[in-house]
Amino acid sequence: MIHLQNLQKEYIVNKKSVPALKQIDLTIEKGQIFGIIGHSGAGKSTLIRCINLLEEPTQGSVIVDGVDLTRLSKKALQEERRHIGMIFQHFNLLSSATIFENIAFPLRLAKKDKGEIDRKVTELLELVGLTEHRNKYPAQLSGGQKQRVGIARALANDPKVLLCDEATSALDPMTTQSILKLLADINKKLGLTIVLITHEMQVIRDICDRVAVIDGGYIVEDGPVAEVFLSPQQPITKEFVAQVSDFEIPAELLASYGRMATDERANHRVVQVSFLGDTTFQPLMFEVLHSEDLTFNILHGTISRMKDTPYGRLVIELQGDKAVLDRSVELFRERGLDVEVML
Amino acid sequence: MLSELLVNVDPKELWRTFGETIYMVGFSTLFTALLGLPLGILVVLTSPGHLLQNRPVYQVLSVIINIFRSLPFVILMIMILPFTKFLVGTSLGVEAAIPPLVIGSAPFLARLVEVALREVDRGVIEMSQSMGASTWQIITRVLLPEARPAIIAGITITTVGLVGYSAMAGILGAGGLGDLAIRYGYQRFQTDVMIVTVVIIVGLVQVIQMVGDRLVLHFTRK
Repeated sequence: MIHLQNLQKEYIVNKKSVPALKQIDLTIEKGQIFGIIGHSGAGKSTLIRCINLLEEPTQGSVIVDGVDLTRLSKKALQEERRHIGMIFQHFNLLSSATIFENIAFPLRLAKKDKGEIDRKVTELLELVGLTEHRNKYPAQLSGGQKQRVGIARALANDPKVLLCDEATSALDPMTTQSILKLLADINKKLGLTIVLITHEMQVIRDICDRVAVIDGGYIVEDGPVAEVFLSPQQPITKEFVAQVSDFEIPAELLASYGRMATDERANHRVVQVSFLGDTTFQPLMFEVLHSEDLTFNILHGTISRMKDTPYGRLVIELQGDKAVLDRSVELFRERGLDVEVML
Repeated sequence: MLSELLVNVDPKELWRTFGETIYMVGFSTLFTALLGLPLGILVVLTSPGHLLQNRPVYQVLSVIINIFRSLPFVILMIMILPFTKFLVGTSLGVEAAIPPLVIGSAPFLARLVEVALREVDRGVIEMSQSMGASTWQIITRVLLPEARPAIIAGITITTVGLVGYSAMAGILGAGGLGDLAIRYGYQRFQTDVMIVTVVIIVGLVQVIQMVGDRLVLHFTRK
């Protein structure tokens, strides 16, 4: 649905060129929720704004549904933008217009007739659960409600793509959840391709199918969320993953391991075991630990869901003979679990 | 009692000159808005980083506005007499006061409009662009409605200024309350006429400001 090819963007600041995006190649499939994560200043905002050419790339092409936007005339670009919805961190609602008029805005721009506008807006108000707020003004709504208006407005022209520019960053955690749920529902119901940028790994984990990590203007890592999540390759990716699984080996444990003699130390091991998908609900751990002569101690554990995929991650300390420990780790791996020896 | 104090005040004359003032202020406000509004919009749009960014146009407009804003009104009035005569066929009377009033206050209003439009959130403009709005649609459907309260406040300030300028235009025989005050109140030492005209002018300004404030409040959604 979206192809970014060799995309580059430079800003001219004080007559010097400052690169913001370097060599971006990205493909986003139809119907996906694609997340782009990065710190502020990494270029993620510039990147998403290049997709509808709010920022004009210095080089490269932006192909949305087969059309290269960088080659279009101003007029043709305006027409094409109607098929790309966008929502914003600060909602960007018209403060002088009612909720109804805000949602009707893109339809009025497209010069749709009155009956159609009325029907469409009523339908959208229902979709985002704001029917009773129809005649209010944005100042009378809460942040979450404002973002719902933003979403309804972005959907008014039946877009092929929805761009979300830090759509939940100004919202509290509970409201964030409800907005993410709404986006996921829309993605499922309408088959809409969604591109979102965020600095919160939780957003990626909750609704994205794929993720790209951007740092210093480069995409440093990308892949299916589960994969990136469970075996992050780059330091920055690990840092983001740590946002949601904030486990650190306790200092007491480190100290006691430090005091151990070498041969005693060989009988202790701390491993991180990750499950994904169906394995999450099978007693694999039990099977292995039961059959071997060792004791274990759970230090940390998460069982959660990445969008629709269940996953689990346990950090356990194993104690037993060195040979038994090695064999157990092998047995975990044979059963399809991802095992990382931490200590 | 009152008529003893105001021996020199001729109600008929007062009513006529009041009408002239309203006429002058009314029409010059109208034309000032017609000139100042587009001028202000153009200045904002051509300014660096805006929709129609154009450095030469922006700077030329800016200099012209500054020149007309820095000229004292009386001097401006005299300077453009030939232009006034060309435009309305005379350099005396109520009609002749309107061109200098408009030229004197349109640049002022343009600056106020500029400030009002700059207050419109950049994000909202960006949103409109992302929805495929043309520049014209952004002006008419976003910038003007969003800045409406501030623009009305600007027009109110300008109108109040025009009441003052119209009185000054009295010096060059433009008619109106200012003319009355100068010819009778000042030149013939009829203090009562002076006081009455001043009271009326102050009252007029109060009414204009009140109406303006009401309208601003009416259109404010924040």
